[in-house]
Amino acid sequence: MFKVMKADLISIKRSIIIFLAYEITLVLIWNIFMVKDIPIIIIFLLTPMIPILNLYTMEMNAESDKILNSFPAKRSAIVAARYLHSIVFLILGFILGYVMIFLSRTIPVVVKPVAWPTYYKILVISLPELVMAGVFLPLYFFTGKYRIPGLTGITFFVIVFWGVSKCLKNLPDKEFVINSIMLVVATILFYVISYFVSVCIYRRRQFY
Amino acid sequence: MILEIQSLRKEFKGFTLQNVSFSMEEGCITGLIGRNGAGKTTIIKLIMGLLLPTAGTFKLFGEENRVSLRDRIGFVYEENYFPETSTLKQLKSITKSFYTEWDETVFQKYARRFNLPLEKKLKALSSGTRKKFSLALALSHHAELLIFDEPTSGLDPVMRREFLDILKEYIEDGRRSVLFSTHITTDLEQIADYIVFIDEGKIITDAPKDELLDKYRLIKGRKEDWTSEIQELCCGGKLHEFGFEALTEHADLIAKKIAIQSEKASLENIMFYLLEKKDV
Repeated sequence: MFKVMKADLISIKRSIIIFLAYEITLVLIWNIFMVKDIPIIIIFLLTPMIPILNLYTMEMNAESDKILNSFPAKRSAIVAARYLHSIVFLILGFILGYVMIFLSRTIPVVVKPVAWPTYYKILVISLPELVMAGVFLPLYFFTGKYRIPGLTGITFFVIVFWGVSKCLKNLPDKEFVINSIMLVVATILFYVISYFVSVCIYRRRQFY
Repeated sequence: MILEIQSLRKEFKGFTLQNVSFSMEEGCITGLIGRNGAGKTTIIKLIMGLLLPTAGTFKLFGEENRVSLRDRIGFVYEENYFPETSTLKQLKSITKSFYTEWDETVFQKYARRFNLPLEKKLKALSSGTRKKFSLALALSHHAELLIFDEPTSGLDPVMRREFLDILKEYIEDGRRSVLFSTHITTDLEQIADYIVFIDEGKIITDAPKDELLDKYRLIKGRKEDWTSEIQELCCGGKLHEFGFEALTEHADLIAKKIAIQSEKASLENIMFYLLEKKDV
């Protein structure tokens, strides 16, 4: 699986550069130019585009799946690598997002640091990103296309994001933690089921 | 047997690969010939697991086909499927990680022999250099079976000759085999041991090359001698302004009836006239 991940990462390095450039640009806008009115939601709406961008780039890169499937690599490992990728990119997006928030709210203005629960809430409401990847990937493996699965994934992201935000808004700390844990478990479960569905689909996929 | 294909069938819209069966022994080179769209690439993709068969089975190295056996196969495809923006060094690094028997010394040897610019990106290279790179990868992990789809297309004549020499060297130990599809039948005449001739998804001929070349003769005669009796004895033929040219298995018999010039038929002639007869 890690061999496939390495192969994918080399194939998609252009999209990694785009991703980093995007995050750094936001940091610069927020900090150097002191533009603070960009809604934070933009970060979380745009970071999930990264897995889509990866797969889009892979698709464009001379059908690298044909090569991967010609190597002694199991199809389940290829799917697992893509699922792990999405998680890695999401975590990377979170970290960069948090760094950005931290920098924009503490260093330039020297205001009091943001309380930890704020970060925690951000983490929880970011779970829809995993849902999005979990919707996108099986559809991508089924169709071999990225546009419709991508749009479907983003639609799911927006709906779940909105739902989760409503669900956790203005809750007492205890209820917030319980609800959050349930949401995390449900999301992980969804992601795992999505993986097995993708494996079933990908095992039947043919490369003409 | 290094490869045994039994009644392999693959259905597409408008094309069916029909019950293809053939086998390959260790230490031999098998050429897969046929016109465009005959089913050569389909057979190769089925063996490589890129396509799933509708029916039929095949064994690799005497075992039921499974993913791990691809560790013992080297491949070169007609088109490039590697990511264009990566350097040869990066692509080598990817490939290397998948094969347990990867031999860096062998790869470096071929990289020098083929003058591969390892620091350059794939997109900056000519199709010939890309092909050489794919060949170097396929030859660098001690594969027991090499599967090539049009390996010599895009190569200049010098490199083509060198490539054929490499293949001869590669199978010298008698344990390795090569399966390759090509349109350039002269390549096969030089090195192939077996020929599998396929058309419209069906095998027309599956025979040792020498047997095939000995079986058919190319004959030339006068225009007026191209009678229906002679035509029946031929596998196909063409009437020109000054005479006829035909492929036959019965050159001796025809020579007793009319004056002809007879010569050994090339694979290209055999392929051409057999297909012509089939089309008629």
